[in-house]
Amino acid sequence: MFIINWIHRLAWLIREAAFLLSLAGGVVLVGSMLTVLADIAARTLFGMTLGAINLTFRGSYEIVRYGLLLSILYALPYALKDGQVIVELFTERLPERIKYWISGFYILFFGLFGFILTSGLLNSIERAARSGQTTQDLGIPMAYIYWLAMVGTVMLGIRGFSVAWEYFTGTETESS
Amino acid sequence: MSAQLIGFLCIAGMLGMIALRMPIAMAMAATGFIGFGLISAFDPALTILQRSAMSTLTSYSFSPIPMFILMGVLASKARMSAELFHGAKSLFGAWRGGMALAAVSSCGVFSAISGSSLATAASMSKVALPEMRARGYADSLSTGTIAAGGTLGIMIPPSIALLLYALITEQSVGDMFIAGIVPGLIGLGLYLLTIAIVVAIKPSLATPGDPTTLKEKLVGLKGLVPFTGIFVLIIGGIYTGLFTPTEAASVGAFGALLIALYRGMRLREFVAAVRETLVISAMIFFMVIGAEIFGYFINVSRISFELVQIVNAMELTPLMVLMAILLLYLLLGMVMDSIAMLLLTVPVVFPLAMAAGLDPIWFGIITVITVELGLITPPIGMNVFVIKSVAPKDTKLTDIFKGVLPFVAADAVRLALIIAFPVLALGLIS
Amino acid sequence: QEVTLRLAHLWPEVSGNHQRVMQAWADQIEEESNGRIAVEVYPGGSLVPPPDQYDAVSDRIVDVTATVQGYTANRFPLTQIVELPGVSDSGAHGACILQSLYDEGHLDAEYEDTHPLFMFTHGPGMFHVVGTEIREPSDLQGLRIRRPTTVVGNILEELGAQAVGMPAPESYTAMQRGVIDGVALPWEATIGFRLAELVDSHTEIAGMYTLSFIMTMNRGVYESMSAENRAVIDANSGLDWAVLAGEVFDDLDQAGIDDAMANDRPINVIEGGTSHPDWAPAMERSLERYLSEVEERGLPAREVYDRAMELRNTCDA
Ligand code: NA
Ligand code: NA
Repeated sequence: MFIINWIHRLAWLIREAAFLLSLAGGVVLVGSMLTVLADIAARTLFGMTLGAINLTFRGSYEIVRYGLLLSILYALPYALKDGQVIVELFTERLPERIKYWISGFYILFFGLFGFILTSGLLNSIERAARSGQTTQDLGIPMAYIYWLAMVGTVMLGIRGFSVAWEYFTGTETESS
Repeated sequence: MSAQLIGFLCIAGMLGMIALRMPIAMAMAATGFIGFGLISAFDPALTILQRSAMSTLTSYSFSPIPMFILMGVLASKARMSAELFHGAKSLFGAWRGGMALAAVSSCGVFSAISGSSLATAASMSKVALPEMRARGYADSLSTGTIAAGGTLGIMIPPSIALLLYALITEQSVGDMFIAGIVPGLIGLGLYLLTIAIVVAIKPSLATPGDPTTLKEKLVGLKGLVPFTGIFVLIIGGIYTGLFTPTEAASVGAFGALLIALYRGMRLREFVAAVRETLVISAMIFFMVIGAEIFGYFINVSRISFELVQIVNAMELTPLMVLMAILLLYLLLGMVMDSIAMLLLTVPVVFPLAMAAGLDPIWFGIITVITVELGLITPPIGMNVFVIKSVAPKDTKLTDIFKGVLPFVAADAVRLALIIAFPVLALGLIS
Repeated sequence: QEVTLRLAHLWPEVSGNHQRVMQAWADQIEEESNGRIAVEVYPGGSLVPPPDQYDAVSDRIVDVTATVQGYTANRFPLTQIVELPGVSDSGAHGACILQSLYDEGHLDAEYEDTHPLFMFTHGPGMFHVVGTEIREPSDLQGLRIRRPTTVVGNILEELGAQAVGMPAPESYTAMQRGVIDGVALPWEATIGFRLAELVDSHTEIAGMYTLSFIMTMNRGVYESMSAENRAVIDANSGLDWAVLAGEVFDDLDQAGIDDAMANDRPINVIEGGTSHPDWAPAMERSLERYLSEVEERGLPAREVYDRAMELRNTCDA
């Protein structure tokens, strides 16, 4: 019983951590939006002054790309439970308990998927570190971006198992 | 066992798993992994899984998706989409089903700033669904209306799908966009007609609205102003060259943010809006990632290749070739996302269409309408899923699909019109 | 049939690169192996999107790919020396220089992950702009130009233009909307990306830049083939295919030139190319900057550059 409580508490902690991570994802999303605006403003000024006022900066395209990556990856763990699309047509009449078990079973695989993505990132980090690959414009080492992305995939892995636990034990109460 | 046979078996298995409540995203990923593993080898299949998130989420062309959703969420938090909808609603006054008509019209207006069906569907459903529900509209009509209305976004420029088609087939993007205008408007007209017919046949699906005076109708139009402001900002910005359609998404979201702030949005509400945006985006991207993995498998299975061979061997007339291709798209559209489908199949069937002597731009418009049809046809319809994610929790997927059926029929009519009268697509092109 | 090779590349099925190089290579392999090796070709990035193509071969998601090394920045720094100002004069010329550098072993360290078959370059990269003409460096002042590589980005910025980083397929819309005033691309791309219908003039500074391409194969797949089959692959690797691929690019450039002539668009050719006194300083500074950056990483950039410049004379332009 003590163990069960402890795990239940852990699941709660994981949910809170996933929530905080999604907030970080939100900051990244708003950041890329502002980057695009800054880029447009800078180059408009550049164009209107025929290049005299040059506040233009490189890399907005890149910030948008990697901004998308991080904002979504950081949101996936939090959205794991509610973000699934399921065809209910053929299983509508099953007892709720069974449906929970089925959901828990599938969510386990999302946890596994999170760790598969993590292992892929580890490979990429190793490769990027070896070849010295960087981003095109800002010259950011790709390895750094992979490390940042890994925060999201590790969280997805942990959260997958934690949500599955909630489904299996019926402690799934709040929706995330 | 041939790759094609493995392919068909895996797809059958996937449909089975989807029927057993497997999340769609996972079904696509699992089928992609297993299918690719069986046809090629499991080591690289694992690598595809490992890379899937990275390669999908760093694609610039996907970057407007969360921005358009943010724009929609902010617009609805600032009651902008609501005003658009209410303005349209007061125009239709006491009509039975007026809200559905208003929703489709609003989708049409929204389309002109949205390159993505999903974003249109997501934004409008947030506004219109709760109200239609509160006024006693059947879930099937309200959700079906918006799922279908969302697809208007793809014909009325700007449109990501038309842009992709133009790039793949090396057609002029400008021509493609212009060619989409009339078919887009025809779609809007037919959808309005569809609602009128559906409600006439089964009045219990909808309720009459409150009667409005001419003055109220005009006041309703005033409600369109802030929305039109953003619309003009975006379209003006795009056409004067301040920014690209891709960047327009961020500009639109920022414009909506400014209006929201002007109307007194608090930090707490803004955070909630961003969080909501991320949850909806995550739901879409789970599937985009799944579709990416699935795409590898579909490709190496050579299923589409096989189908084209069969079509080729039968020595068909141009119209029959077109019909065969459309049939192929309808079949693939059952299981695939529209953008992925365009990327995968257009390179294969385009030469076939050209060999049959079809006009490339006209063929593109027909292709994109058909591919978009896949967004609202079961069992996998992305628009339907988006609406499911935004709608109240007890809304059933089956109800949405049921509600969407009459609009599928309307799209069939639109297709027939454009096939019979190519001038509808090509008329505006010099 | 003993082996099936999946070949994924980035060109559309309708392109000359697909028909005359990729599909031709596939057909040749099937023929010379008497059908023991089948090659399935996946054009247009349909199986693997361009930025991931090289890794996809190294991980055996596909067996063979043709892709752009520069898509993964700083991973092939010595290879990309062939892209520098003043190195190559044409697609075939650049291909010969690059392939020879590889054959001589200068680039081996960059290709441990895969088994390269041949390497090539596109034709001379040049400016295509809207609403103006570039005759001298000051004409670039205040223009926004889509840049293909960082090296060209540096050149542009030295000349007072703004270098805009975006994928080539985005250029059409960006140019149509006036977001960019022009692009740096070879002639061939003005047709391929349909930019010809938008631009008003062309400026060629011979030798300004090129882009390097590689056709490469999974190492494990190559090594696991029978000696007989490997011989077929070997016979279709190296200089001949490299130069052919470069020549195809040069031929395709002609379509762009013809279109410009047919529509009476001005074509400015800078006399002396990169060594024209007005243009040379910017070219040299970006060249120098690139070489010293690569040298700082402990790589023999100058040695490879010097060898490339010698090969420049021995390879036919
Ligand atoms: Na649109
Ligand atoms: Na569908």
